[in-house]
Amino acid sequence: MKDDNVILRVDDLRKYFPIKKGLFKRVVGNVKAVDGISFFVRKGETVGVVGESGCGKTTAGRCIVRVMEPTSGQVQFRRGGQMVDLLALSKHEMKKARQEIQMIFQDPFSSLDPRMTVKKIIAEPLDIHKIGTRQEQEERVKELMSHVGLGAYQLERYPHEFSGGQRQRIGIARALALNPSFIVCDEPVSALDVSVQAQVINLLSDLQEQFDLTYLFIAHDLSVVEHVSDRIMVMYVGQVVEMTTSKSLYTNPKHPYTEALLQAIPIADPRSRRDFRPLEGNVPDPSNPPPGCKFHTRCPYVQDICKREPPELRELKGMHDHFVACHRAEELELQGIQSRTAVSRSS
Amino acid sequence: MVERDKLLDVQGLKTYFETDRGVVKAVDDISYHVKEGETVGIVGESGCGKSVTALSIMNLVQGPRGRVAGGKIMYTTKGGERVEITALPPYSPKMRAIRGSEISMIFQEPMTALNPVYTIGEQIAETVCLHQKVSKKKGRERAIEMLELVGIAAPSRRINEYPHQLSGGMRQRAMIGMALSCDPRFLIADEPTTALDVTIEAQILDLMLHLQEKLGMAMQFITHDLGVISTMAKRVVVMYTGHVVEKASVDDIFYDPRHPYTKGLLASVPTLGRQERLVPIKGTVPNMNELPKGCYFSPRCQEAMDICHQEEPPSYQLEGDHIVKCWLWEQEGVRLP
Repeated sequence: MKDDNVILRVDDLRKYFPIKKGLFKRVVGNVKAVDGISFFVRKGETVGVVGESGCGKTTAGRCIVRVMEPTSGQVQFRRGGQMVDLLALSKHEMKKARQEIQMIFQDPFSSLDPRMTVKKIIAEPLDIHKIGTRQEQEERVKELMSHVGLGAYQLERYPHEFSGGQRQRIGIARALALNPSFIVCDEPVSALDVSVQAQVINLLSDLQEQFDLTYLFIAHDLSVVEHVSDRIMVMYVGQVVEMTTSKSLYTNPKHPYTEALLQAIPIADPRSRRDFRPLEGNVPDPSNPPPGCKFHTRCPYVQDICKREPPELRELKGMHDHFVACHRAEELELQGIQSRTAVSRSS
Repeated sequence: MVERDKLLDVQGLKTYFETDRGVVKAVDDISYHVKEGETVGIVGESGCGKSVTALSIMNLVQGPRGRVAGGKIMYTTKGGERVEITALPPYSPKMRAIRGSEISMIFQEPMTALNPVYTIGEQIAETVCLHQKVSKKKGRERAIEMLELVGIAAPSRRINEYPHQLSGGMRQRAMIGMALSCDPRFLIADEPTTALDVTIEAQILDLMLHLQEKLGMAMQFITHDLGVISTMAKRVVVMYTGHVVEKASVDDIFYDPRHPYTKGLLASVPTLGRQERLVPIKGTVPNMNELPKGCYFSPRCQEAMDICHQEEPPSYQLEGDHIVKCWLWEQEGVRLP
């Protein structure tokens, strides 16, 4: 697809972790954490990534920022009007590119150095990239702190003096320090209490508007992902099974796994309905996935072809921007969440 | 209501912990009850005292630093006797008989709650042998029966496996099987699905609803997840910083909440299919060592009045069985002692 708006294009990204055994550490197999995913992100949008634990969503995020080196694939990123393959960059060039591509982590307790003051934590990226004098850096840190709703009087404090929500704000300020255009948010609100979670979600969306940011938002909580995302990608055992706009995904899912996820979420409404049988079994072992479609072992609509041939991710005919990897996508009539919220709280 | 209908009756319970920075009132004067066969949900954020309440019921509050400082917990046994749990020594024979065969508990993290060096079967059989005084062989049979009940395939093979050989969902099933092995009449579930993926969570919630229907036990379901509460509970107790701030039927809590904290919680959760901006509660949960004056929620409350910053509000009874601890209801509500 030729689209001037595309800021990130991932092509057949793979990350295999070798399983080594014996005295000579012979490679006896691979955990295929990310097994050939392709997608693109347009400038200014939020793309959500959902899936259960072990589906490869975090690994994919880390490979894109190159915190982790992928096994193969391409990550094209727009820099100054040009698409550059991040994976082909040298260490030095990648360091420069990181000014524009940053990451926010899940656990605000382990992602901040306990021995550094807030000022040092937020100024660290500026230090590394040698930007500004001490004086200018301090001004910048104060500015960033006010952007994320922290006071300048907290400058000299240590991480343990802050609550979980405030620590996540510090992590966000650090990610913003270099004026990035793209941020990978890896479960940024999962560790927070419900009331604080909403504050951070709102902050992220305000910052997006203010600084024209693009987010890749990784989370396991479907309600949160739906709330923040323009488009959503659903992953299962290292692969993308469905990708489309939020609305379309939630009202008109085309992959049986997406349907199962939507029917499984406990909705905060006692009058909501849940008459769907939950999926049976477990997510398969990514070092030894089943042949054919990886979901076939749990799929209620399975047919012979699903057990033999892995389905390709393809755009559905007549449905713009709706990609799905299922042999039976056209014929199945799947249920969205509207089937569950026939009676809504506002009525 | 007749006292006898109440399987569990918590009256003005206070559970305090001595710390280096003073006394932490983890649970401070809370009252609620659970009737036979019903599910009461306890909802609140971290530090609200929901898990300490559970430990108090099990009489497992760790001394000498932790203690029940006031109030009492009454429990009605199979034989119809009303026992004051809080008056029993934690390791007395009577308490041991109640714990396990009358009241049972399941935890959030089955990997830490199960013993890694014993097989699943041994652990379930141990519980059964201990409480029902049966032979090892009988205990083993019961273990197989329980695994089958909680939907584990090939139970006679599975009982010989260790916890690490099972997946997270399986472990939680095994723990439920163990908790139910002595036919308890009351089950406390403390965040039993928080560590699980959403499709596995749905399996476990379904299983628990199904087992409750089949076995007729009462449940106290503790969670921070409003979605889980609305699926499981008939009545809901909302806790904040050691207090019960609101108690009502699940329908009233979600459709007619009266406490500003409950309203705030509901507005904070994203609802599927609606992308409008969330309305968070401002600020954060206060530190239990530095609680604010007056109502503990007042610094975060949108509707706080002068009195809220001065004096702790009493609880008011509103129409139905709706109880709220908030000064806003001084006019309409009936003040409870």
